[in-house]
Amino acid sequence: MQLTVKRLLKNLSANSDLIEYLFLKRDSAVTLANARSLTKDGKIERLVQIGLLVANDGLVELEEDFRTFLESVLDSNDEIEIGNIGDWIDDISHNILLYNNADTYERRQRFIKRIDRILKKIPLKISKSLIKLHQHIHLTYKSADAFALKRIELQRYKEKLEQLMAIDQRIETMLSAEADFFKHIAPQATATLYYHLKAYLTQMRISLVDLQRQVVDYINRVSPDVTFVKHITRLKELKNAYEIRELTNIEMCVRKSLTPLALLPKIQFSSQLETTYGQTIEFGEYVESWYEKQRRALPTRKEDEEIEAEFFDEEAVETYLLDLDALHLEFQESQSDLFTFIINKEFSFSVDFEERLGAFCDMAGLYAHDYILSDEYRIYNNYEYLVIYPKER
Amino acid sequence: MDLPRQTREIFERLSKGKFICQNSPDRVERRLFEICDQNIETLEAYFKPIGFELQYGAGYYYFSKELQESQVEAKLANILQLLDYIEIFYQYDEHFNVNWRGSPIDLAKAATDNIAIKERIEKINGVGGKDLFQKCEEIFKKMERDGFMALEDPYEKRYVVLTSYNYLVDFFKSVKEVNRYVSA
Repeated sequence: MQLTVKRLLKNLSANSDLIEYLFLKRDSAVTLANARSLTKDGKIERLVQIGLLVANDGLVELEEDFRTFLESVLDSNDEIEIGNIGDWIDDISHNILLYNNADTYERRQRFIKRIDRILKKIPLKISKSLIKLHQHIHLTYKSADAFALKRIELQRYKEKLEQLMAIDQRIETMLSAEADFFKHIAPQATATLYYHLKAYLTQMRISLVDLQRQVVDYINRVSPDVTFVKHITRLKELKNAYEIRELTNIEMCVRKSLTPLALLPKIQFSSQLETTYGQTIEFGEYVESWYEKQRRALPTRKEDEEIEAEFFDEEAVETYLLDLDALHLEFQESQSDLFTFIINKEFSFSVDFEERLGAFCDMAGLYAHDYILSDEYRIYNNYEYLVIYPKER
Repeated sequence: MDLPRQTREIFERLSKGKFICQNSPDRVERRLFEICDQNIETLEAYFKPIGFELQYGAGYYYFSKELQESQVEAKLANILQLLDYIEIFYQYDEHFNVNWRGSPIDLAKAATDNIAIKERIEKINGVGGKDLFQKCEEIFKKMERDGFMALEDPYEKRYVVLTSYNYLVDFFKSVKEVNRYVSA
C-alpha cells in the first residue's frame, strides 16, 4: 500500500514516544527489546515496512533520510554541510535559463519561485554553517583533547572554512553573470532577494576572514613551537654549564623586564595593623603610607667632597674594606639594632664615622629581607636613623 | 572614577602575587579577567598611587613592582628554577604551552620510560619528595604556586597551563646569547 502523507503523519503520531527515544539515542545502539518496551506489538515491524525505521542484528534505528529530516528541522545536526550550496548555485543559473525560454506565464512563475526559494535558502544555510564552524572551532581549541588531535580537527575546520570562502566566490561570480536578469527581467521580489543576498555576502566575508584568522592562530598555538623548544634546551645547557650569565643577556632581561609580584621574594615586615582591616579597600592608604616610610627609612649618603690632587698620585695606598657579609652574620647573632651594632663594633683597623654610616646604609639595602624594619627612629650625632633588628632565627 | 564592584577582589588577588588569567578553570577568575579588560584604564589609575602597577599580557593581568637591586638575584634564581621545570615539560611533551593539560602521574610514568626525563627530575634543585611521583607532583605544585598552572580537576589531579605562562615565553624569547669574547 503506498504511503500517503496522512498515513505517514498518523504513524508518526501513534509512535511518537518510540521515535523520540530513537532520535535522542541516534548516536548509540538501541536493542529491539528496549524499543519494543516503548510501543505496542507489531508497531516496530510496521515502521520498518513503511521505511521509517531500520532493524538489523537485534538493533533498531531511524532510517537515514528520516533522521536527516528531523535533524534538519530541529537544527540539531552537528555536521557542517556546505557541499549542496554549490548545486543550488547551478540550479539558479539553470532556472534562469528555463525562465528566459519559458513560453507561458505559469511556467515562468514556477521557475521564478524555484529561484526565490534558493535565494532565500543560501544565506540561511551559510549562516548556520558559519555559526557551527565558529562553535566547533572554539570548542575544539578549548577542549581537553590531546594537542595532536586538536590540530587535526582544527585543520579540518580550516578546510571547511576555505570551502565556504570558495562557495562565496562562486555565488559572487554567478550573481555577476546573471546581474542583467536580476536587475532588468526578474520580478521586484526576486530582485530584492538578489540585493539582500549581495549585501549578506559582503558582511559574511568579514566574518569568514576573522574566523580564518582565529583558526590559523589556534592551529599555530597547538602546533609545537619547535624553535622555542630548542631555545629553552639551549638555555638549560648553558645553565648546567654555569655559563648562562656569561654567555647570555639574561641578567639584563631580569633587570629590564616587568616583574610580577610572584617572582619577587616575599617581604616581611611587622606592623600594628589589625589583620581584618586588610580586607577593606582602605588598606591601600596604609600601604601607601608604609611605602613612604620605606623610602624615608633608607638614609642617603652625604655628598662626597671634591677629590684632592694627591689622590691621583701614583703611590700605592693601602686600604681596608669592610666585609659586609661577615658583619651581617655577626649582626644576626647580636641582640642590638643595626646602627648601634655598627657604631660600637671594634675593627682591627681604623673605621671612621662616615664609613660606619656607609656600612649601615649598605647592609640595610642588601639584607633588608633578613631584617625587621621597625617604626622607631632615633638620633645619633644629628643623624636620624631607622631602628633595624635582625629577624629571629 | 567609577570603579567596578569587583575592584577589591581584583586587588586582593593581584596583591598576593597571583595572576588573573583568561583561561583559568575558576569561573570567578575568568569573570575578573573580563572586568579588568573592560576597566583597564580606571583600574590602572586607581592602583598606581598605592604603588601597584597593573600590567597585562596575552590573556592575563598582574601587579608588577619596580625591581630593587637587592631583589635581582632572587628574581633570577626564580626564573632559572622555572627554566628547569619548563625544560622538563618540553622533554615530556613538545606541545607544552598555554592550555596544555597534564598530571603528575603522567609525568612520572613518562619519566619511568624515559631516562632523560627521569634524570632531570632527580637532579632538579629545590624539589622535595621521597619518590618520583612526589617529585613530579612538587613540580606541578611549584608551577601552580607561581601562578602559571592551575589544578583543573582535583580528582584526576589534572593541571592546565594558564595564559600567564605567556609571560615566561616572552621572557625567555628575549634572552639571547651574546658574544663576550671579542677579538682585538
